[in-house]
Amino acid sequence: MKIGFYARLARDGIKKNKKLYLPYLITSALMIAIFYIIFYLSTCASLKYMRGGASLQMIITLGVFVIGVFSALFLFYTNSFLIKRRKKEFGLYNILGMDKHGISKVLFWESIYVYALSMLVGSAGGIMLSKLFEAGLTHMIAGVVDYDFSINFSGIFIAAIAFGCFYLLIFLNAVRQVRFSNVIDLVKSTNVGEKAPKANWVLGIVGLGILGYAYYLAVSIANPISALLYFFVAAIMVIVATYILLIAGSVVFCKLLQKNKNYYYQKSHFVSVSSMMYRMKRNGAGLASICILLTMILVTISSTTCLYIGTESNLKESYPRQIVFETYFNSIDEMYSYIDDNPIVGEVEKICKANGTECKNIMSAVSCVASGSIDSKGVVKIFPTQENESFDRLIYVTFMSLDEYNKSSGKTLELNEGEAYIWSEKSKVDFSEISFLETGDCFKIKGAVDPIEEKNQKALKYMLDDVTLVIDNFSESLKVMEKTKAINPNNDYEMSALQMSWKFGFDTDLNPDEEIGLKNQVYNYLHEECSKEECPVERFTIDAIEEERQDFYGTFAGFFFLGLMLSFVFLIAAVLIIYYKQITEGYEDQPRFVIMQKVGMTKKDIKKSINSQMLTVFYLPLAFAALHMAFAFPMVSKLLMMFGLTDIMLFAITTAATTLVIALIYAVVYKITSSIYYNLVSSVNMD
Amino acid sequence: MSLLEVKGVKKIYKTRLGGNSVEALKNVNFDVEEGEYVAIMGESGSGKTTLLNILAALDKPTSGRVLLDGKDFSKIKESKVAEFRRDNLGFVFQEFNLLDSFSLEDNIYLPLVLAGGRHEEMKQKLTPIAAKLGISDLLKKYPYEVSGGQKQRAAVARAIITDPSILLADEPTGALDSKATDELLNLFETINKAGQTILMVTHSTKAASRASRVLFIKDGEVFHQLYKGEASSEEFYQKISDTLTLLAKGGERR
Ligand SMILES: Nc1ncnc2c1ncn2[C@@H]1O[C@H](COP(=O)(O)OP(=O)(O)OP(=O)(O)O)[C@@H](O)[C@H]1O
Ligand SMILES: [Mg+2]
Repeated sequence: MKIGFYARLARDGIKKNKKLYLPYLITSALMIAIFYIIFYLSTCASLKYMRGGASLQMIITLGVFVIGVFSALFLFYTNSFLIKRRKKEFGLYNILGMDKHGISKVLFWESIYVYALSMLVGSAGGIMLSKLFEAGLTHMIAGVVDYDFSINFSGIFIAAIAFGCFYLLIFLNAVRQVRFSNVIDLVKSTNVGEKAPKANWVLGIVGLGILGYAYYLAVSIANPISALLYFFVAAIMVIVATYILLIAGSVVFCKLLQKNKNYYYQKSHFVSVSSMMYRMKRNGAGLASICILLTMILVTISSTTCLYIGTESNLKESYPRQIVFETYFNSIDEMYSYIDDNPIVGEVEKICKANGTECKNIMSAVSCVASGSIDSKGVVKIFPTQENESFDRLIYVTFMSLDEYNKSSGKTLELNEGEAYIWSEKSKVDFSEISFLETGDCFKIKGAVDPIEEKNQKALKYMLDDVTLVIDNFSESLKVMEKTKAINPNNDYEMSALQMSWKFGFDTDLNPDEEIGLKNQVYNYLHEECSKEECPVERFTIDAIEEERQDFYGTFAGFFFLGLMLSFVFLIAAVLIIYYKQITEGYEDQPRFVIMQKVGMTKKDIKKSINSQMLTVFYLPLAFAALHMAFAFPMVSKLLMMFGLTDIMLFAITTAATTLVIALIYAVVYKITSSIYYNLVSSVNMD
Repeated sequence: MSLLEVKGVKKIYKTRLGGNSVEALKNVNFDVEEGEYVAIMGESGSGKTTLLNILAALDKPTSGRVLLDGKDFSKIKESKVAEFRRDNLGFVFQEFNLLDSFSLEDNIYLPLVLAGGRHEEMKQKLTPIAAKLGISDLLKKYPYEVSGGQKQRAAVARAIITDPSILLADEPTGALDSKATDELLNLFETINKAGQTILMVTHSTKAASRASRVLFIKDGEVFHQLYKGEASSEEFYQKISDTLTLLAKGGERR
């Protein structure tokens, strides 16, 4: 036979199965388009040379891999579903005398057609949309959009290679599926009499247990660093539990409903409960996949949106003034005496004048902070060794003088020798004294006091546990501690138990570029001043908010964009799974509803039963996803703190909004696909 | 007044393009009395299934009337048809038509559940029927776990649990082997003796010979009918065979 024959057969096969292949083709083309767009953005020159563009592109490059892997997995999954539905047709070819080699040829041509078509449409769409996305992203990081249109040929080439490989694998898998089944199986593979599932109580309870533990983990973890560690553990546990629960647990649940005779033997429940149970075993996996995808969408969009919206306040919190520098000292006395009469402020003001502005909104703050790990008795180990210290207990101890506290709070507290007041913004303080292992310093805790708002330290504090100790005779009391430089022999770099620093910040009237110029001048001055012999400043740092702004926006816009793109892909995947699920079930249920009509079920009954069944089955994944999201909330909000975002309210709002939008989209998909299902079921005549 | 009256029923199937139309039934007339056991025979394509579908209110005749207990089918509102069918008619099909997602018990309950019965009452109805049909031990099983004959008995149980005025069966023995066929025919005879009216379409002379009357359909009309009367099943069998031969030869009417 000529090659043309198989090619024609393949083409006819695709055309005949439009209902199955069209969504597959569209998805495939979309994935290719998105792959190309992301690749294009990760390499496009106009973004690269923009301020913040580098951070943005680094993050987006990640997306190329994620999209690639996800597309491969998903196309693979979808195709094996298509093959399963078409086995009957192949069986027929086989009976009519086409050998399996011939069928492989048909499959080969089919793969070629699908690949070529989706590659063509996908790359064309990708090329057309790429400029739009580039402009959008440029706008997001506040850059200037240019309107040169360009095609990234290496992007197309890489997409062609990558998806070519995917389709080769998919083709091989399809051949394997056809090869290893005999004719009889092929002919009747869609209507093998399926057993009604047995309820697996053990599995159901195990699933519930895993889910419960994952939820417990998510809720109980207080510390962002452990949240990062346990996030993936919890996520994997939730995924496993979702699959187990939807596959086994739902059967158990339906069996329970069946046991309740008065509930079960009611017109509205009878059919839906039994058919739900009947198909849950098979479709539980599909539902679980939908649920996981929805959860991923919820988590991704809500968190990245929140980060993006919160960029400005995040920036302001990290950099409370337009220009901020911080100088570090070796001793408290030196620090205080230097600050009292330092040349820096005057000189900085002069530099500002020279630039035609002045220091406004001046901020000047001193801080003494020790960090380490703490145990339950209040012993602080300043240099924790990684192996035996759990991250949970990492702590920042800030020292504050009683004078300062009294001044700021307007109180008149008193302390004796060796005593301290304590406060903590988020840690539990349940020890009666706090001592420092390496230095031997020890403070008896006289009581807890109200915190003084200390904005600039806030972000830092959320990262780890924190306490603030208010002590008298400030520099006397900390004498030992300030001398602990390099006390830990294992540390090759100098480290001290106590970090003493003075932070100075101010605003100006300058535009961003001038501001950055000013910052560089101040830097040069500080560099010169601090390297002087008599200057006690050990080192310093300086930041201009405008310089950081670009990076912040670059990073968070990158996250946001990637989050949207990934979520879009996940959404398409979820919709496709739903669509195929409805089609399969529609075909499957046709004869069932014919029988029920013969036995006396009215059209109205059918509609009702379908509705109740679909509503449950359909909104189950959504409800589950929302539940997952609710429990992930505390954990994700801690992760966001690591990115400097502390506005829980904002996150709550974006989460609620995202959930609402997704639920709406889901409802629309439900309406459309359920009418497809209903048409399938009611299309056949009753004889 | 007869239980079932079929008057001048005609059925024309219009093909989709409106081109040719098939006249499946030309002019069918007959009555069925209460407690009768009627078999309908005829060649393939003679319109038996079409007739049965009309009697089952699954399909509407192009013209003519069907009355059950004097009630005209065509007067029943579209939305009430399923309900009417459920309450008055019972069905047994060649391919059983059990739902694989239900246990046999639940399959049998299906029409009662649809009618909105209470579980206790359903159970009371099922127990004697299941015993009579010999499926009491199989009730918890699923259709794929039992034999064809057992499936068909469950289907009979489902058909008679609603106490239908008339039991309609379309080639009920068509998918059964001879032993299961005999069992089913015995069963039909038993429930008929107990007062159940039965109307059965069949290709099998043996099955027809157990009925009290046989109608022969040809060219969309009732061509001939035979009463069993006092004859034994063997004698009746012979009579039916002769008629079928005659029919095949295209013999004269009555
Ligand atoms: N839905 C339909 N549309 C068009 N023509 C039909 C339809 N159903 C049946 N027919 C035609 O009506 C005629 C009678 O069909 P019917 O199924 O009633 O025959 P039958 O006696 O049951 O045959 P068999 O013994 O093979 O089951 C046939 O010529 C058939 O082709
Ligand atoms: Mg027929």
